[in-house]
Amino acid sequence: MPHAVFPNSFNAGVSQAEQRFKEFERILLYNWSTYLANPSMWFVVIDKIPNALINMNNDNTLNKEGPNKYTQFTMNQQNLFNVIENGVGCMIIHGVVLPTIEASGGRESPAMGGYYGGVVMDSINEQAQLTLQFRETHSSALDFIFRPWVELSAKNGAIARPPGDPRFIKCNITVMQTGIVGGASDPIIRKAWRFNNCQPTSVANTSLAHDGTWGAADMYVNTEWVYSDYDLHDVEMDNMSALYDQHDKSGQGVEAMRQGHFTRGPMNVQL
Amino acid sequence: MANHLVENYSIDKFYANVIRHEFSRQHQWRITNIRTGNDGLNGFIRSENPETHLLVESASIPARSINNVPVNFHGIDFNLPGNAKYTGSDSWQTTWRVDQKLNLRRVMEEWQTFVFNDRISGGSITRANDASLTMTLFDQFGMSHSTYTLYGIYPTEVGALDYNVGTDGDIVTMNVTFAYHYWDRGGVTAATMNEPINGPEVGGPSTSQTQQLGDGL
Repeated sequence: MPHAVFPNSFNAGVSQAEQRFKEFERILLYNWSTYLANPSMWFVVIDKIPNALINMNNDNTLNKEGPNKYTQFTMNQQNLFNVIENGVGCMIIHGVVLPTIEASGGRESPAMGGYYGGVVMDSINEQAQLTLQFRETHSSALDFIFRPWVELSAKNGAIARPPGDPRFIKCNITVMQTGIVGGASDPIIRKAWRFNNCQPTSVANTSLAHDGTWGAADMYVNTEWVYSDYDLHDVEMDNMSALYDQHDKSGQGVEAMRQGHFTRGPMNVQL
Repeated sequence: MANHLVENYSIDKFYANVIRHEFSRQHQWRITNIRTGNDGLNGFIRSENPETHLLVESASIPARSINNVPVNFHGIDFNLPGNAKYTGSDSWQTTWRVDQKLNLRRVMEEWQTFVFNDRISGGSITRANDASLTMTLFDQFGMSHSTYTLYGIYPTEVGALDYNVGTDGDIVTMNVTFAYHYWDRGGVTAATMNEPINGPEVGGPSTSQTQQLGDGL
């Protein structure tokens, strides 16, 4: 855009640079929707462990087929099931790697006497893989739940089956990302990924050693999952920035915190 | 409205404020409760070493911090608050006066060994609400007004004892370093913070806000 007058803000009384500065401040500090998200505010919900994994004893079909064999006491297994299927979140998950998405594109080979070729797009290339990092725990979900589950993935494949089918081994995994909404309020779910028809494909190896010290990171193990598709949900409150502004200015949150109370967040995403 | 130095910050106002709120003194503090955790260890300190609360010499009310997250625009750092950290929660330092038969030393050694015994690979799962240490702060009338409780505490290091025949009878002290998960505060709230300091003879604090020295040890 051509400039009719070289810098003219003195005469006009308006500085475009200052407007940009103020706009940056507004979106960073005064607008809930564009506030910097906190990367550690998230949790994962796994809705269902396959029935084929229940009662991991000699009568289990997986054990009968072999060659590997898993033996787990019922109550220990139930304890792990409760932890993994807990509706408030599976708290033995330490980390999540969300999938990338890309569509490759570029120019065709130069043609027509040295002119650039046109830009063309290839089909979408989505990484249909979700990584969940679990903590190895005394009673091992990694080796008594997810390891045999990977075997089920290999034996039963990825064929769509109804939930009642004993070979139904898929689950839905929801990754909730939350955002702060006040000093004394529960965070709200600002974004939710629901990965549909998930099944694990690998449990990473672990190394054991007699080193003198160890850190928790030594007990973090990656599992890889495939899924058919995902649904992405925005925060389920329209005009969230205005709502937050109203809540913030009311002073209720701060007053509640001063009195030692915490308010419940206004809503949760219903998937 | 103009803010006038003499009107608002005079020595008279300063003096009146001191009378009303006093200052916190470094000695108005004790460790009043230690719970060593599960595995039958609750009450261990109490039963094994009843004078523990009299032997502590120094410690600190621990810090809490928020990680600062700078977001840049044209080189300026806009500083946003990140996550909270309980600064120093992996190395909270205390100093203790050691009794002559080293009961305190023994208790700390045994507590630490209960946490992890290298000889038998045995140990205790340190639980947040079962293993705790409470510090109580007192006013000049000996009445407690605030407590700080550190949850999930265990001794990471029981320090060395220094002996020297060339000294003039100095008592032996011992540093013990603890780790904990987090802490919380009890006692004074926003609703009571402006109550003046009053001794028992002039009415005294209400019983709901106070407890006697050593309570719960």
